[in-house]
Amino acid sequence: MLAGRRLLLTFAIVGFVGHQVAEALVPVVIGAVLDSAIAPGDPWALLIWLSVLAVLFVALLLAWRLGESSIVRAGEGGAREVRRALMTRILSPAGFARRRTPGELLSIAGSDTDRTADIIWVLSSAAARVAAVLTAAVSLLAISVWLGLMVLIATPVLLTLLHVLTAPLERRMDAEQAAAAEASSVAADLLTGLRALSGIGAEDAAIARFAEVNQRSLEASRRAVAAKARYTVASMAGSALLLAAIAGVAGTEAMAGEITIGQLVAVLGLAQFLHWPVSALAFVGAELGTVRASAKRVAAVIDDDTALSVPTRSVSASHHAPVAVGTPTHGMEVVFDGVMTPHAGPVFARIRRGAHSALRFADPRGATELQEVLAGVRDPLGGRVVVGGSVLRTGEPGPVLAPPHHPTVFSGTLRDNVELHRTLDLPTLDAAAHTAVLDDVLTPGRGGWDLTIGERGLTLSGGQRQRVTLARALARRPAVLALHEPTSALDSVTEAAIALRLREDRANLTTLLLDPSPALAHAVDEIVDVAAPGVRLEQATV
Amino acid sequence: MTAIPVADPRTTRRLLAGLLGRRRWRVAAAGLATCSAAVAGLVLPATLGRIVDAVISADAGALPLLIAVIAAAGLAHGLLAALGRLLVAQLGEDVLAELRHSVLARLLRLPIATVERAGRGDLVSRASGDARVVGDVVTNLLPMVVGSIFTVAITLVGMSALHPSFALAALAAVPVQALATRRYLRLGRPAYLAARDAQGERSQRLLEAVDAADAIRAMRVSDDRVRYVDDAAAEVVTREVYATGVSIAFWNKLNLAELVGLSAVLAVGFLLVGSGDTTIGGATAAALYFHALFGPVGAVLGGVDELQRASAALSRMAGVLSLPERPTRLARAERRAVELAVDHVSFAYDHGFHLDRVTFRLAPGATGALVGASGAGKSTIAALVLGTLTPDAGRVEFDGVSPTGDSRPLPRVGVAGQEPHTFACSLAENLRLAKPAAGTDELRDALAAVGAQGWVDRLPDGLATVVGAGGHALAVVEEQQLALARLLLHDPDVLVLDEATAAAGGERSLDRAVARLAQGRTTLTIAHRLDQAEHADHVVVLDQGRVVEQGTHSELVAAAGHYTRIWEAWSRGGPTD
Repeated sequence: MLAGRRLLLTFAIVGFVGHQVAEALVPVVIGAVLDSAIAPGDPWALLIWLSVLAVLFVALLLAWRLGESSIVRAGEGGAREVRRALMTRILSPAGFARRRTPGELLSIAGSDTDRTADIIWVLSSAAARVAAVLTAAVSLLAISVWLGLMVLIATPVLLTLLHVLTAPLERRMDAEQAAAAEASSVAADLLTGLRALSGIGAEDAAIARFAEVNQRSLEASRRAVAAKARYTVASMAGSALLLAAIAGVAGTEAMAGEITIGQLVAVLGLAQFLHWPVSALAFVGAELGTVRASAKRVAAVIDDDTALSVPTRSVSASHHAPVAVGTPTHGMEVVFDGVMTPHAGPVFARIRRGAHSALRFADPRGATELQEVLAGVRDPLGGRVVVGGSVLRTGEPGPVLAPPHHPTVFSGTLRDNVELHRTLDLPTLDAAAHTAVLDDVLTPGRGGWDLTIGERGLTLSGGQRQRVTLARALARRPAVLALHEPTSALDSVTEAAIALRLREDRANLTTLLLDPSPALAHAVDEIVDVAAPGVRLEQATV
Repeated sequence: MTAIPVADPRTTRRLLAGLLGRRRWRVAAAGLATCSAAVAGLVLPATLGRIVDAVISADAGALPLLIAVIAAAGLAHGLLAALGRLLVAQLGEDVLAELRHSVLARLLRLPIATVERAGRGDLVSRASGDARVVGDVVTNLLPMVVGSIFTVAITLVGMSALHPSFALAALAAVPVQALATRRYLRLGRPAYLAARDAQGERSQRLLEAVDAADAIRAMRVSDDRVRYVDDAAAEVVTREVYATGVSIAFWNKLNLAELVGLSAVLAVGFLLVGSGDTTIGGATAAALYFHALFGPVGAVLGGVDELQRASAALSRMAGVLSLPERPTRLARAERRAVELAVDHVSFAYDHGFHLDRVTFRLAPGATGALVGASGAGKSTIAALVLGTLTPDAGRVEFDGVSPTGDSRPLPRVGVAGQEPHTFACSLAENLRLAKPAAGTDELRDALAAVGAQGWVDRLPDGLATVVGAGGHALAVVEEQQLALARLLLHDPDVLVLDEATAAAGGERSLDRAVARLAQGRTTLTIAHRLDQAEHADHVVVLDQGRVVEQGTHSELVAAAGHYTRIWEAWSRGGPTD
């Protein structure tokens, strides 16, 4: 993330350092005003030094401008890049070996990603604070060697002492973040199931469930707040003692006439100024802790074990290869060569090129598993699928399209939903809509293809959602299409129409129906019965 | 997509005042600690001025005492400042937790129609995203800002104690600060709201992509979807860069204000020292006071920056609370089957589809089936019966009591939708959502009644097994059974089955579970399989929003009408085995 943003990061650091140096010099100029204007009562000197002050301030604000405008570009750009990497992993065909809740993934893709990108801010502001301390020390050295040395020695000692306290603070802040993430994950889960909750009048029970996690989150916050308070006491006490020591030495030197009044004021001003960068520097540890905690969670997702035996990176790389959409006029032969999943098979079957076949499963879980194998997102336990003479490899694009049973509709237009990131011409779209009997959705009165579909397609009925996803699969005209219970939410009239139109639309194109309804199964060339593991099966022709 | 409003500033302030008012003693304690810290902070520059005067008058004996005062005041300042921040932060976290709770509670009780118009992304972002934006400010910024406000006020008092002219000179900075802040508030708020909106769109796309990851993978559009999410992220960058531009202009003006104020204080010091109204030590203290204000003033006015983000997020949370709750009606204590009457009900959607004077009646305990092609209006009628939608004309009545515009207790209604949601918690917790007081045996009985005993016994941790997203994955049929078991525990008088067994493809065990559930309850089934209609007491046939026929199955089959045609089609394609 940092690699591509060196220049911006450099600008940000230069800007913030310049700003802090200018800030550090302000008390020095105040001392000069006292020494050369106020003490001797010289109005010209006052004018000259106030002009110097003005120049200093212009430098200060220009530096700030540079730093701030660079850092927002670097930080936001960095967050976007991390988020893209994260989404690439989450949507990678390789999948996750261990499922994660959507709420958890969202929290990581949201606030954790932003906090990871904060590294840019932490780095440049830390650099600026160091520069401020060094400028103060150098100014003090110029006034008195002792004072300069004191600051140069005391600051690292103070920081080291404070850093000891950062470890428990980091842990508490980590726990606070985790508890907050859990609370938002539970909130997201409950809101997702809102329909189910209201269907059984369980709103109050759901609220009670949230109250529990909310309380845990509050307690974690309380512990973090207490840790921060202890830290504040330590850092401010340390700074106060350092200030007293500097004032003592400077006062003594001024008494002895070794430094002027103006220099004394500059020293006292610098000592006072030092509190901000020093106490802020002491927080760098905690800030890095927050960044590290979030970055760890982001990295854990990106590097998480895959569900497939193929490496993630090669999968996402090979995924750029264009999928053969086109309009194949012939299907491909599909051979199930002892394919086995936890609840199906071994399947031995040869599906002719262009045939329409139904696969009936003894265990319905087997149908889902086989769909996943055909979609290339699951490794079979044994055996292989051979399509058009070549072995189907998981995680790689192939000629088979096998959408999941659950109908997923996205917010956007009807056309966006059927095209789903492919540009398709109107005849293709209309043909798919005809086969999927989309007549009631695709009406001119409702905007035709431009019909706006709300989030998760909740403006559509269950049957309409199922037909939209069916149209989406058909419109791609894959050489081999596997449909898992594609009409389960439809009425029998619509189902009968789809069974008929599917034959015409996919004539000569291989079509596998997994656990289809009787009406759909009625219209196929052959039915393959898939037993649960352990049972040899026979191939029947209707 | 603005079904959930954003509260106006006054409403938000009133909400906050209410939350703080209930904790007024803690507010007072936090204020006292913070104020004392500011007073202790004042001792420092004053003592430094004394040192200057002591040096000028060569009073070496005063130095050790003054140094001791600096050390003591510094330590006291540290302790009190930390205590103040602790109290403010604790107060803030408590208020936030309460707010988070009320927002989620309200979201869960919103009318379903509002929820569906709003979209789930907006709901989730208000209950979790916005709550965290506010939380970050409460945790990290608020204690500092509160402390700084006190410091600024007390320091001005200290400057006037030196000489009133110093305080007046310091106020020279105020017009510049006021102008800068006013402009910032005017430009900043819309800029941050725009950035928040862009973030909302980005979260919505993220949410959809994460949720639909399996479909996206199977359709082989992963890269395209990543790009789609990234486009929204790019928009966020643009908006954030603009908002930062507004903020930079503001900060530059604050620096100018510092320059104006400091020059004025130094010039006044020059004059006052010249006229003998103050010592060089006094001028020094005034300059140091003002210089020490840079940090706190920056923290307060610069905090405006983040406080605005938080206030935008807070307004979005408060907006949720401004929405009416779904009217909660007293559930009737008496348990018995009820008569359901749908009387000349009409309803129109924005996009044109409408129901036209739908009328039918189900006797207590009877089963009714709604039949019709997809889009005929079956689900709309179910929503009207549930009270999710309100009829434009006509009435829905349970034993003569309407869910709208009537305050008499209603019977309990239960719904099985076609998309069962399994919550991410244990199986027992999933079931207890329907009946929190249910004992383990009752849970097991409910599961057994819907035919789920087999797989439940095979679960690794039995009822304690964590299911749902991230937990043990249930099959579609198992999820349906779990939903039905929850419904059984809910024990409704009226049952609406919205394609209850659709997702599992008409699994026989589910049909039996549904039949068991319907016993003794008035049941309205949205039938997509005609065998469901065949066994119903009353069948209502819908076509394009109108009732075209109704009666018993055998009457309708004999009528040679619409139903006869679909029945024939169903029988032909129906089960052959």
